[in-house]
Amino acid sequence: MTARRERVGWICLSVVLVAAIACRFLVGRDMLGQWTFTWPTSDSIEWRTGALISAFLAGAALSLSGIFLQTLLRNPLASPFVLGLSAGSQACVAAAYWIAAIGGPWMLMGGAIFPATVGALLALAVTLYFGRGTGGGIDPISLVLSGVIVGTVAAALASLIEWLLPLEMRPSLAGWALGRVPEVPEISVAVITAITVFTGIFMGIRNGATLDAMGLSEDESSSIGIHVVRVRLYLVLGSSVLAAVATALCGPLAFIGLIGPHMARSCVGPRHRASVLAAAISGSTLLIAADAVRHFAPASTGRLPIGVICALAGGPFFLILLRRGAAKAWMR
Amino acid sequence: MTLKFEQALIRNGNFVLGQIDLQFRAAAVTVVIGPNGGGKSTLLRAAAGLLAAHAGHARLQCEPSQSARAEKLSTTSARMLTSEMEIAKIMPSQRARLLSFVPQRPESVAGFSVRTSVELGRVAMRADAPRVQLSMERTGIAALAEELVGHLSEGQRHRVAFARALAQRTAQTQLLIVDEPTSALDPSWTRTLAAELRHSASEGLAVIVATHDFAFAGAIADDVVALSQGKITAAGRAMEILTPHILQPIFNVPFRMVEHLAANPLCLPMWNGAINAT
Repeated sequence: MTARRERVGWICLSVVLVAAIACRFLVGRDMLGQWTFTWPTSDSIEWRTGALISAFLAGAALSLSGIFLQTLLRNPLASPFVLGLSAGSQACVAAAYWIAAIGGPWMLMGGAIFPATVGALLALAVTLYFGRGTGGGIDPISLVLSGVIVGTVAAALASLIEWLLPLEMRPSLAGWALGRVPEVPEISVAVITAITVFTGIFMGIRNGATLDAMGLSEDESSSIGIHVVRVRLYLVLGSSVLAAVATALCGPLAFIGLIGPHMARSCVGPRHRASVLAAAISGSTLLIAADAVRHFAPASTGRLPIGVICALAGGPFFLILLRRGAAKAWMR
Repeated sequence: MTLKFEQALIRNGNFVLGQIDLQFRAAAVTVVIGPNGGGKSTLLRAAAGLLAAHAGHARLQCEPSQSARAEKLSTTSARMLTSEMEIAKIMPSQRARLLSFVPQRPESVAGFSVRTSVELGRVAMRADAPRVQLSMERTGIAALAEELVGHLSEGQRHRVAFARALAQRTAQTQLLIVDEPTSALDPSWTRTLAAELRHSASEGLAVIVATHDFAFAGAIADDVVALSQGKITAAGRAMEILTPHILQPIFNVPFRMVEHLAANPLCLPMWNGAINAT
């Protein structure tokens, strides 16, 4: 990637981000439920800004989680949703709600972030355990299969727990489980997400060369001076926390964490010094754009859950990656 | 500096190598030979500190060189260097200064340029652009510097990995370990590589190379270690080991000395009868 191409890539990313933000800011609904494309009234300015902040932070967190997982596993198909982290968070948050329903709401102090983090870590651990295969090395496709199954089971667990909840608690959890972009994000969750995202970007750029070196075989990265076990531990923790905060804020969203890193690398190249920040920007752009797009759906049935848009747009992308043999072509 | 294996037992999955008593000389090329599955790669990975000795020791013993002092090492790391060190217990960032390792099948992210991939050799130390450029020139890949690794042939990728090992070198570097380098290489690059390995030895490094290529082995070896079924079957100076009566029982193939291919006679496997025998 020449310096000139990289510069063009940065310009493209910024333009698309600004366009997505403008789009989301201007799009809305009139009294009749028809979509409008005008400067918002003073009430809706606040709402739209809130939604923009939520989408910006959650998108960046998911995409950062994705790029760290892809680096950790040297697998371009890895992402927090595909490896079951999002569903793991979902299940643990549902469990926390359930415990809160039994033991009183004080059990939920600190919001959904803590249970979400536990869930993401657990899910990643189980996925890695079963995805390792017998040869010692990690086969990319087995890992993805393992993750998909872990995700499915965790999502089923989440539904089961949701079903056990008292009726009045169900709707809020069910809405969150389909994915949402909160117009009035919970301050504590938003602040923690912001801190996590900026820490992730900072650490990623600072240790860019180390992350690049993780792209070599384990023997090679170790012998050029990388403490492979330690770096892997950081990547596991970092990607889990990032996936968890995004899930706590917006629910389990599919494929943003997969497409973001690919979009970033195709714009600014594979070196982490550049691609970590670019991945955060790409993820934000994607989620903001998805949030804008759902306003165009007919309003009579209520607003389309954001998770639907993400899955509809992201699923085909994953299949194309699979078809192109991305997992095999990644390493040489 | 010497790298010493004492009563070492090394486990690599189900495979056990041992017990190994060996000493690798500085300023010499040691060639490791042996049938497939004999333990060559296991020995090399243990020498590189990537596998710990299950029992016994694999130690690196070195003196702080003048140049190491010139690099203004902190006193603790200078003191550490004077003592004997279990090679697998040295921190990777420190070990990277002492040795470089080229595996049999190097891997790199396909989207990296050749230059980026070679620069990774210096990830744990000061960046050194002239050194990176020189490494690429000496391995004949300078013209490919901006090419993507994914577009290269296997042999070219091997050169990239070797260039990375050259770029990694510091004033403290004591060891160069290369696992089966010649399998994907054309004759011209094999000759260049042989010259590079001899050059590294002449600079004072202990060079350890595993290979199945007996012409290559005979051309570069000072010492030879023969491994089969996880045991050392022969070890010593090249001219004593690379002889038909030692190699024949190890590989179960007839060997013969051939003159005029290199400075010294080479001991090569014979083809007579191979085709009819099967």
